[in-house]
Order: sequence, then C-alpha cells, then structure tokens
Amino acid sequence: MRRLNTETNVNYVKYIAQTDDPNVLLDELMTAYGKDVWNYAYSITRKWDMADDITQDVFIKVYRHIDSFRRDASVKTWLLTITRNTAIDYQRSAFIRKVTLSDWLEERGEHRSVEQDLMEKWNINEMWDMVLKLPTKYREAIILFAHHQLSMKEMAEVLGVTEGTVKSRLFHARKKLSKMKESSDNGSVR
Amino acid sequence: MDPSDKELMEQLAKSPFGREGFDQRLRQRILDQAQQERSRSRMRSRFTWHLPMIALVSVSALFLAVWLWNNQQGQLSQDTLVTPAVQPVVEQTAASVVATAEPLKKYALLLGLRQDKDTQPIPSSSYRTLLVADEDEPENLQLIADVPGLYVPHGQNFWRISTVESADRRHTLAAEQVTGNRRASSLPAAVPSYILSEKVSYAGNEFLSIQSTVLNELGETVNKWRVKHIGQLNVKPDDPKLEPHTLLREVMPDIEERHGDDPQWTIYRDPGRWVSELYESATGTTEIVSGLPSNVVQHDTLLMNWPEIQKIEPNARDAFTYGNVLGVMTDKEVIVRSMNGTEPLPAAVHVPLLEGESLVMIQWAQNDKIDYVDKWIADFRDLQQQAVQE
Repeated sequence: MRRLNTETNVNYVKYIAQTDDPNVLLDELMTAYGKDVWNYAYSITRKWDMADDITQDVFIKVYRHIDSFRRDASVKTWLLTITRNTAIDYQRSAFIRKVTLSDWLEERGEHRSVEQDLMEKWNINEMWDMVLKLPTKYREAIILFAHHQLSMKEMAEVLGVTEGTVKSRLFHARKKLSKMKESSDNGSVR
Repeated sequence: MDPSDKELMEQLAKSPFGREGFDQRLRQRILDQAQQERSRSRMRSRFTWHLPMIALVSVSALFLAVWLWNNQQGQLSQDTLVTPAVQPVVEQTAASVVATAEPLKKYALLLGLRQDKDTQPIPSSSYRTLLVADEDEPENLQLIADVPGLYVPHGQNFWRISTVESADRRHTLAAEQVTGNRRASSLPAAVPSYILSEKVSYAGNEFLSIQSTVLNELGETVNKWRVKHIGQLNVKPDDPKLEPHTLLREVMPDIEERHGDDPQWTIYRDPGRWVSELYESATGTTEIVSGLPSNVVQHDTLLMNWPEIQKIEPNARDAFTYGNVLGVMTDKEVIVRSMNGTEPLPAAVHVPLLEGESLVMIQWAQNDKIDYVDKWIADFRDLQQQAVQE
C-alpha cells in the first residue's frame, strides 16, 4: 500500500509551499521524504557516505529553489528526480575528478569507519541483499517500484525513459532476482 | 519462479538496513547548512546596502596602517638584531627526524608505455619499457633501461608481450618468458581470422587488459575489452566464443553478476590510479568498478596529495608513488625522483615521451630479504643486450 499517493503529495506541497518560513518547510520535507531520498541515493550509489552527501545536497537544492517547484507535480517524484540527477553527478565526478587526488582515496573507501562497513552488511532481508546486487538500471527500477511504490508513469518520469522501457527493466530485474534466488537456494556463491 | 509484486513490495517496503541512513545526525547537518546559507544570504544583502560605508572605512584603515607602519620601521629593525635566530632550532628538528627514520631502501620502478600508430590498413601500437632504479645505493635513481617492447614481471621472471602478425597485417598479442629458466613458450602460430588488431591498456603482475578490434558475425568491425591472465594470452582458438579470458567476478567475487552473453571489462589509466570499467555490449552501458584486488593492481595508492605533487611538478598530469619515490608524467616527459618526506631531492631522472605515448604499466620493486632491485637491474641489462644482438 502506498504511504502517500500522488494527490496527497500535491496537496502536501501546496500546503508547505505556502509556509513562509523556509526552515519549517525544509524540516517538514525532511520529515516526510528524508528516508526516501537517502534510500534512493544509497540504492544508486551503494555507498553510505555518498548517500549522506547526496541527501544533504538534494535538500539544500530544494531549500534554494522551492519557488521553482511545479505545484502540480508529485513532490516525491520531484525529489527522487533531483536525487537521481545528483547521484549521477556525484558518481560521474567521483571518477573523473582530477583536481584533488586525496579525495580519490576517500572515494575508494580508505577512510571509512568500521561501523559504516558493518552497517552496510546489515541488510534487513535477503531480498534487499539481492536487489542491491542487481545492475544499476534494474536495481533502480525495482526499488522505485517496490520500495518507493511509484506508478509506471512516475517511474518513467524519474528515470527519463518510456513506460515501456520501465516495464522491460522490471521484467528483466525479476528474472535476475529469480535466478539469484535459485543460485542461493542451490548453495552456490553466485 | 519470479518474485510477485506482493512479495517484492512486502520485502522491500522497509529501508534496506536495520538502522536508518537518514537519521537525526544527517538531518541536523542539513539544517546547519541551510542556516549557514541563510546567514550568508543575509550578509550578502546587508553587504550590498552597506557597501559605500564599508569602502570609506576600508580606505581610512589603509591610510592609518601605512602611517603606523612608517612610524614603527626604525624600532623594528633594531629589534631584529637582538632576537635569537630561529634557524638552528629548525635544523635540529629536521636532523632528529632523519636520525630516527628507518634505514633507507632501494626502489625500482618499471614503466610500460604504448604509442598508437595510424598504420595501414590496420592501426598498430608499439611499446617500450623503462626501468628507473636506485643503482648500488638508496636515493641514487638512474635510468637503467629504455628497451623497445613491453616486459611484464610475472612470478620471478619477465615476460615479453609481443605481437604475432599475419600476412595481411592483422596482429594479435602473445606472451613469452624471456628471463630465468626459459621454458619453450608456445607462441600462437597464426592470427585467428576474426582478429584485426589488439593493444594493451594495462599490464600487471598476472593480468593484461586488452582492447581487441575484431570482425563480428555480421562482418562488422567492433571493439572488445577483455582482461586476460598472462597464461591465457597465447590461446587463440578460431571461434571467438572459445577465447579464454578472465571475468571480473572471477577476481572480485562480490561484484554483481552480469548475465549478458558477452561480458566485457577493462582496466585503464586515469590520473593517479588504475580504473576498471564494466561494459555491457547489449545496452552500451558502462559502470566504473572500484577496489580491484591486489593480484590485479598493486601499490595503486598515492602517498602524496595533488597540491603537494603540483608544487613539485606544476605540469603533472599523472603521478605514482611507492616508498620514497615519486613518478610524475607531464605532457612531454616522465620525471622520477626520490623524496625526503614531501620534499624532493635535487636529482631527478627525466625521460622524454614520444608523441601520444600513454602509460600501460607501473610496477615497483624494493630491496627486502631478496634484493629485487638488483635482480631487475641485472635482468634488464641482459634484456638490453639481447635486444641489441637481435
């Protein structure tokens, strides 16, 4: 069952956009969508630190540009689209950055804490574990569908593809999950 | 059986971890940044309003400072004569660091360079190998060898990566052990009909990343990126599907599995590090993979940060470090020098680059229980002699 349907989202953002205090507005948005943004950022990057940074960036962008929000759009779709674009920028810049080599070492996880490493291993169940191992395009599709529970139209909007492509990715993602489950049941590593 | 919608939604409804990633700490971090943004924005706004006043005060302060400075000059120059010098203290500190440091080691750096050539009818590549090593004693880096061809250390020996060419100028790569107890290497007798050309983008201890230009089943020219163990290089079946290569998941078991029938990946040089990239030919998508294991890429951590490197060599576009040795590539040359901490020693080895040369191999050795530096020097002197005789 959906936690917030599209109509509720539109009304919600209409309400919060009328709030004068941007800090209250930011706080409200984080309460409603903080977990969604972080989980989506993590599911794209699979890096705890990067998901933190992306989430921060997304909400600061929203804070700066709340006036430009289209009142007729779903706030969740809007936030997830910003999250996706920000995550792609982060991933791209992480690999082509040529300015500060010391940053590369951090990106390669050499400054990570033991706690973070452990947290990332504590997947809540086997399904999440398998989904996070899917190739990016299938991983995103299945997470937008099953975790964020978006409609086909909303998923197509966030991913910037047609609804047909979304359906195809979901189909292949299911096949891959099924194969992974089969391998796991048979006791093989992969 | 494929998971149903219900099953997926039930199992993925919750967050992926027991602990939420979006927690109070992150929320506060965002609120703090938002607060800073707001303060800055207010300051900017105030600053715009008060700009004329600030300009007036600044000019007055400048005049006052100049007047005070002129009045104090005489007094300051007298003070300098009686203040104890700082220099001896600094020298003492530096001396004590050197006294407690570990005994210096000798290092050797082996570089492989590739130059692509627009030969007809098929483009080709040539290689050369440079050995820069501390000869006889530490901190005495010399250019020991600059030999044509790519020589890769593997086990206790060196292997030459050579090219086998067909009558119609198609060519494929092959490996041959050239030092130690030389085994009869079975070099490929012919170039398989589907291969047009091959070139190396990375050479390591055991593996080579190879870009092959081949003819596909439709007779079209396509590129394939594969990584091969050195032992797989000479196996050249006529059927491309039987060509042995190493899958990424074979060296990184934790990597997500690719189900495509043509899994490809490559290793190439990015400034400061080796990068591996997965390629899915069906969709044309690529994915960068970090954390290659040490049996594929070794000593790939820069021990200095980029500003420190640029301070030493402002034109650096790539760098590599190991022990006390810093290697830098500019557009025109390779420069290798010993370092004392972050300070370069005056002597440096300069090797001019040929047009379009790129790095395909960086290997390091040091004198430990076995003096690999001396062994590499001796091996390369032999190889150089062999090259002259050939």
